[in-house]
Formats: sequence, structure tokens, C-alpha cells
Amino acid sequence: MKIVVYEIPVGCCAPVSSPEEAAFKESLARLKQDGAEVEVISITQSPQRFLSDPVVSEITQKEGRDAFPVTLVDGSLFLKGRYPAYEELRKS
Amino acid sequence: MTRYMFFSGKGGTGKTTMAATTAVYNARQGNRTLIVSTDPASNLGDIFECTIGHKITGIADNLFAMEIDPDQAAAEFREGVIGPMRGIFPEDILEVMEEQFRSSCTTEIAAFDRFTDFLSSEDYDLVVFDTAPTGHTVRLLELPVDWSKYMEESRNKGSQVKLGPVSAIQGAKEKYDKAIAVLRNSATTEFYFVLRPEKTSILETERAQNELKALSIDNFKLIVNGIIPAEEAHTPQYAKMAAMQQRYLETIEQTLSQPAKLVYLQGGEIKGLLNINKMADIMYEGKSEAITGAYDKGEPFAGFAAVGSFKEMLARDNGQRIIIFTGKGGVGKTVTACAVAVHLAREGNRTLLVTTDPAAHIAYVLDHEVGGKIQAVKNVANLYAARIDQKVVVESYKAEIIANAQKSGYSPDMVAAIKEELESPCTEEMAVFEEFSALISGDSFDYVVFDTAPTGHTLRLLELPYDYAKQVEMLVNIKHDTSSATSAAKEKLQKLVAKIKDKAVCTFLLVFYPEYTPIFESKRTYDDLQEAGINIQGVIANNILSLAGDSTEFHKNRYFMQQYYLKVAQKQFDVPMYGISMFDEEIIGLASLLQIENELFS
Repeated sequence: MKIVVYEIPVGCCAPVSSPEEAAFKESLARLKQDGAEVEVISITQSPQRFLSDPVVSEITQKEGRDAFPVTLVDGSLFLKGRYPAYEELRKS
Repeated sequence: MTRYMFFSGKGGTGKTTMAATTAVYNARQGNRTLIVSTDPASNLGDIFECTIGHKITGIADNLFAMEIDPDQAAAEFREGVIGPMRGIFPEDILEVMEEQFRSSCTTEIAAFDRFTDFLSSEDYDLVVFDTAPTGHTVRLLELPVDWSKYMEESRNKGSQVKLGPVSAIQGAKEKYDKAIAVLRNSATTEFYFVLRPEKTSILETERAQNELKALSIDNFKLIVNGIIPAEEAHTPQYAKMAAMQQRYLETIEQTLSQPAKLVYLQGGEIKGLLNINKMADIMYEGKSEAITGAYDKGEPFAGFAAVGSFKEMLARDNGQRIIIFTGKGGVGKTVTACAVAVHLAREGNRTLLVTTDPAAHIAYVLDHEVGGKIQAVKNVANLYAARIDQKVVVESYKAEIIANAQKSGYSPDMVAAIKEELESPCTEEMAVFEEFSALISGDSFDYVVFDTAPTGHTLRLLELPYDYAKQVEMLVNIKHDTSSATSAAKEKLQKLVAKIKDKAVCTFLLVFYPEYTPIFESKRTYDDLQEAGINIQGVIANNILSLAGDSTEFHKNRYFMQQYYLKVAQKQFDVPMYGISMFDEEIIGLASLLQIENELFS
């Protein structure tokens, strides 16, 4: 399983700015242990990746920032507007 | 081995001048010296009277200088990343990204990033920095959390854009670890704290030192600047101030107990290599020939706005008016806010004064204790006051959130990251702003007067409808523990922002001292608020000296220097300017407040 999360971070300095984000990033290591391939793509670092994926590009253009973070699982849309919980991803 | 000196101190303490003097002294002792400025308010070029800019520039034998404007660096960087994205990404996403690059901590990190370039250089015997990193910056750079490793594993090589200052933290841990080791090495590195013999200055120094000490940085030295010279200490203009300074010098000795260099106030400004050399004689070789000013002793400043216009500016129609004072710490915002509130109350308006001043001080100024709840001020009819204890508010905020994070079973690394998030100046502002909003949600007052203003950055963040709301949610949610309170609180904050941006209901006033650094720092505040859509409507120059028949040469020099800077200020701020005289003692009690009221209103 390949999980890709596209995010638009907003915190002033520190790496996390919401409890869900914190929980999600905590679970990254566990997901990897479970055998998933996980990638987090930040708009400040890789803006072009937001455009190169057709699903994400469409969301970016049509819905704007409200739709982020966007999670894709194996290339298709899994979740918009918030970070996924570990359990949700486990089930999928 | 290269030595490093960091100069730390608030705007207006003379930090850059002291750094320049120290650099000049060391250079003339035969040490190859570089002075680096990263303070946007200071201007090495102005002090040395030559063009320096963003390159190493020879100033004198063995002396080199370089100026880095972190605001400009951050702005250029921001454009570098965002420019190519314009027209491709929707406006709302660009907005979020731009704001990210505007926070004060981002600027600080950008500045620190430049420091590190010099910390490995072997070209100089001594590098003098006219700014020092704060505890917050150092802690941030030490955070164990490194998300970049998750990203790096699956990164497409070659597809990366240049990283921002924030992202740069994640990639450059090793570099920063080395830099922090240099800061800690007392064999090579010294921290000079420049302060004035005044209460706010002492408290700020203590706070900054404690933060650094907690990080094992502790090779501190003090420079106490602005002391009234002995021969002026008995003149009518300076006697009381000199006595007050003596008391604070004792406080400094007792509470900070560090090697301190005492530097006396000069009649003129320290500018140009000649004067800086003289200053080095005074500071480091015990010579006593004072520096006198060379200001045009002609026409005094005549640009103050007409008497009566201040009152007009604050007039209200039927609804409520909010008055917010902004300006750097120690310029007299609280006292001015008190005087204005007292005036409005005495005119028969139900007036609420909201202050963030420490309890002891406001009780003196107002002759009255002020607590956390709104209460009537007994000796002034119609006046009510409430105090936001910044420290208590922020501490309880933090404590609750951290407790919650620990309860949720986050790893220690994550808890550390959340803790640091909460240490950022933005969080403090948010906590206070929320308390503000609670105090003015009703319409039961004709006037609400604040002695502290949110920054433009805070206002802009609060306006971002999606993203920052999340962060507010994180803080508010955990605090109030219900999700309905979350959206209510968010809505309340946004309503408040809309209210204070409305010129018809809200007046922003800026208080400053007519001196070089304070004016340029105030100008930054002015511009920052303007970018958030707020125009400062009036500026108040505080501590204005006047001439008397028995004025000494020293006093005349100071007077003409101020007159010059009042003219400079008028050019910088394109709004009505008002003045408040320098009082020869601390403002205590209603009688002295009425003196200020009198100057502003009649």
C-alpha cells in the first residue's frame, strides 16, 4: 500500500500545528512497520508535485486550501481536509 | 582561534553602537575584526557613515563590516519560492505560504542561518554580531523532531525547490548543532547584554539571560548604557533621573551580578569613525572627553498636530470606539493609555482600560489596584480597568495543552515539538488576544482602551479562514474542551479582527521616542500593521525635552538631537504627530497622569 499525504503547513516555526497532524506524524513510523510506503509532500518544499498528480492538481485548482491535507492511497483519493487517523488507514 | 561576541539588547539601548565601538577598539588593537549586523532596525552604515550593505566591506585597518537585512532576505526568499507559483496555484494557497515566511521566528531563523556562515570562517580573529539569537531560536534548532527523514526516503531527486528557512531547519541539523556548540563554548564566545538603568530594561535582560542559561549558554557580560554623567546629575533637568538610575544600578549589581561596563550618556550621537574611536577611548581606555552633538541649532521642530485634533480623532458617534496603543516596550504606552482613558472617563464616557502591564506598575500609575476582572476605578468616575497578566495567561495556556498532549500518549519528541510551538511569540500573542476578545465582546462601554496591540502577523493569521483556525482550534479546543466552544471562539476572534480593522470604530496610536533606532523600529510596526490592513492614525513622541534658561551644553545637545529626530519621524510617519514632555520623575498617581492628559488634549 502506498500512502501519500499532500499538506500545506501553517505553523510559525515548529513542525506541527494541530493534534491530528501530531497524531498522524506519530503514526508514520508504525505505518511503515506495517509495511506501507508513506510519503508526506509539503507545498513549501515540493509545490510542483501538487501539480504533477492529476487528482491533487484538480483539488488544488478547484477547492483550494480548504481541501488540504489530501491523502491518496495507491493513487486514489482517500481523504480531504484533515489528517487521517492510524486506524482509518489500517482499515483501508 | 576566532573569537565571537554577540550583542543582545532591545532597540534603543545602544546595542549597535556598543558593538561598533567594541569592534573598532579590537581592530585597533591589531585584531582582524568583522562586524556583522542582522538587526533590521540598526544600521551599521549609518553609524560608520558609509555604504556597507550585503557584502564584506573594509572600514578601517583590520576592520570589516557587513549588513544583512533579514526582512529583505526573507522577502526575497519568499518571492523566490512563491513567484514562480503565481498564476498556477490558487490565491488562497499562496496567501498561506506567504504568511508562513512572515513570522518573526522565521526572520530570526533566517538571521541565524546567516550567522552560521561566519561561525566556521577562519578569516578573522574576532567576529562581532550586533544581534544575538534568542533562547527560542536556539531551542527550535535543537528540536529532536526531524520529519525530513520521512520525506527524504521517498524524495524524488532533482525535483526540489530551494528550501525555506523553516524547512531548512529540518535539513541542516548538523550545521546548527555545530553553531550551537560555538555559542556554548565560553572559551571563544561572549554574550554582551546592553541595557539601560531602567526597570523594563533590567527585566528584559534577566528574561533573555535565563532563557539562554537554560540552554547552557552563560558567558555573559553587561554593558549599562545611558547613565547620566556625574556633572549633570545635579542639574534641575537630570537630578531626579540620575537618582533613579543610581537605584537601578544597585538593582543591576544585586540581581544580575555580572561584570558590568558603565557607559555614560553623551551629548551627541555616536556616528562616524572619529566619534566611534572617541567612544572606544571612553569605554575601553577610561578617557573622559565627551562626544558632543553637531545638530543644527536653528529652528526647533514645529510639526506637531494642532491642539484639539487629538480629541477629534478619538471622538465617537453613537457606538463604541476602541483605542489601541502600540510601540516597543518601555516607551510609555501604559502611561499614555492611562492618561487617555482618564480623560475620556472624565468627559463622561463609560471607559474600560485594558492593560497588560505588571500589577505593581499600573497600581502606581493609576493610584489603584487592577485585577483580572473588570472593576471600577474608585477615584475616577466612569473608569473601569482590567489587567491581563500575560505571564499567567500564557503559562496556563501552555500547561493545559502540554498536559493534554502527554495524556494523549505522544512520544517525548512530539511533546517537545508541541512545547516549542507554544514558546513561539505568536502563541503568546494569540493567548493574550483571546483574553482581549473576552473583555470587549460586549458593547457596554463607550470606549475601550488597550495598552498593547497585536502584531500584523497575528492579525493576518487570524484572518486566514482555514489553516490558522486549525491552530487556534488546537489551543482553544484543548483549553475549553468542547468543539462547540471552538467554533464560537474562532468566530469571536474573527469578529474582533474585523472590528479593529474598521477605522470608524478603532483607532491605532503609536508611541515612540524621538531617537534613531526607536523611530525605525516603530516604522516596522507601522508597516507590518499596514500590511494587515490597519493604518495607524496618529503617533505620539514621548519624552520630549525642552530648553530652559539654565540648560547646560549637554542638555542643549540632547535637545537639538531630539528636534532633529522629530523631523525625521515626521517624514517616516505620514500621520498627525503629538508630543509628551519628558517628566523628571516616574509617573505616579493621578496628578501626574493629568499633566499628560493636559498636554494631549488641551
